[in-house]
Amino acid sequence: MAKPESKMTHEEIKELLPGYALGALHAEEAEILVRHLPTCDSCPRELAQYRQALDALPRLVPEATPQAQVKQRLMERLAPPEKRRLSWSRFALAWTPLSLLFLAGLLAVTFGLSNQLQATQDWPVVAVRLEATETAPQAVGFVLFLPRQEMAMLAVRDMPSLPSGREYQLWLTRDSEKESGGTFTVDSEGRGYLVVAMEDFLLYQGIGITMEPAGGSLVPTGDRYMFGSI
Amino acid sequence: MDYSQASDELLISLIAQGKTEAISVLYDRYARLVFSLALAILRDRMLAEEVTQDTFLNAWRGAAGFHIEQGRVSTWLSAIARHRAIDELRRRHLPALNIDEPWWETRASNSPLKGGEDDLMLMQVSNALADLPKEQKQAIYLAYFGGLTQEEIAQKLGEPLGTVKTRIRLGLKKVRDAVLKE
Repeated sequence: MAKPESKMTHEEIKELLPGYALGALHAEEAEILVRHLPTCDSCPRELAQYRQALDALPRLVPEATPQAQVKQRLMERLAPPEKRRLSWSRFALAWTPLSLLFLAGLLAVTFGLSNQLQATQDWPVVAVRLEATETAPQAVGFVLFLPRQEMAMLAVRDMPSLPSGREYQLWLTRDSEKESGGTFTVDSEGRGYLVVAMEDFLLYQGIGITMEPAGGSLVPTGDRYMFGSI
Repeated sequence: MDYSQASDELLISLIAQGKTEAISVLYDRYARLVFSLALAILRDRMLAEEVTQDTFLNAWRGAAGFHIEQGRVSTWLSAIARHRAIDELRRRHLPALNIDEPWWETRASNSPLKGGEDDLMLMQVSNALADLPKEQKQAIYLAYFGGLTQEEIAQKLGEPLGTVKTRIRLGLKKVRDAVLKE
């Protein structure tokens, strides 16, 4: 078991750096570094050196070439950001049956809805995957926008456990401003969710989750744990 | 507009402006790197292709958020690809990485990128990794390509957790020394 942070020497904290660069630390150990790094002169530099070392790993794998269709499909899916139009059917098709079940279960639990939920044209759903960061390398999450219902729902799992007095806060980026979507906590499995009333999700371009003091902050102050683009 | 000679950083800013020609060039430059990494992790061509597409889509959408201080563009792309691939590995409960893959013995021969000072250093660091004692390399590779935590590696190898932690630490320190020598 990890020593409590207050009992760790700087040498012992430094020994966590290689594992942290690899994303191989236990959530609690990673948090020790997340808290330590902003306060230290030498550790961020050392971490950057370890990361530079790992940078070479992708060069060691056997070289393989993707089929030409991959690029073709990619270019087809692009649209200039200003002219981006949303197609409900595209997002509805992006759901795997498992994701629908999860959505159905989550909504059923939260709202006492029927389990017979399907993304149909009457109930368009726009899903945004959230990306993990080094502060939360194992985290998985998504945000669902339900424009007809004027709401959004965030769900995450495998997020680092929260120290006491802290909560996660959801941020929505609108032009260069960050609006708070609210705060939430996670259980012992790192699972959490948040429901947000939202009139028009198209106002926003990005999503972020940071760790803040309980009750939330007016602007993001903590490290970013997950992020996504709309 | 011919962007084929543009630097990676210039390409990213062009992508942030919505220039599809720029993402096309970025793809041509790094698709093999991204795909090879995804394939090494997933060992499934179709899934690796999906991850490749998603990585560049993410780059397309996230270009405005990329800052030079974050490091190399290629590192950024590799990180996106690795996260996505490991995520897929876990979600689909794909077979875990073997504790010893044949390609772990290879040293960097040709860099996929054109030659340059940067790539010489990269090659030397690659070789430092490839030359690590077997147990240290194994622990690092299982963490990086298998997405395993130190605890999971210890369990997989039937070794004490402390031993795995030490191997990772010593191995990466050796490679870091190779970085510092440059």
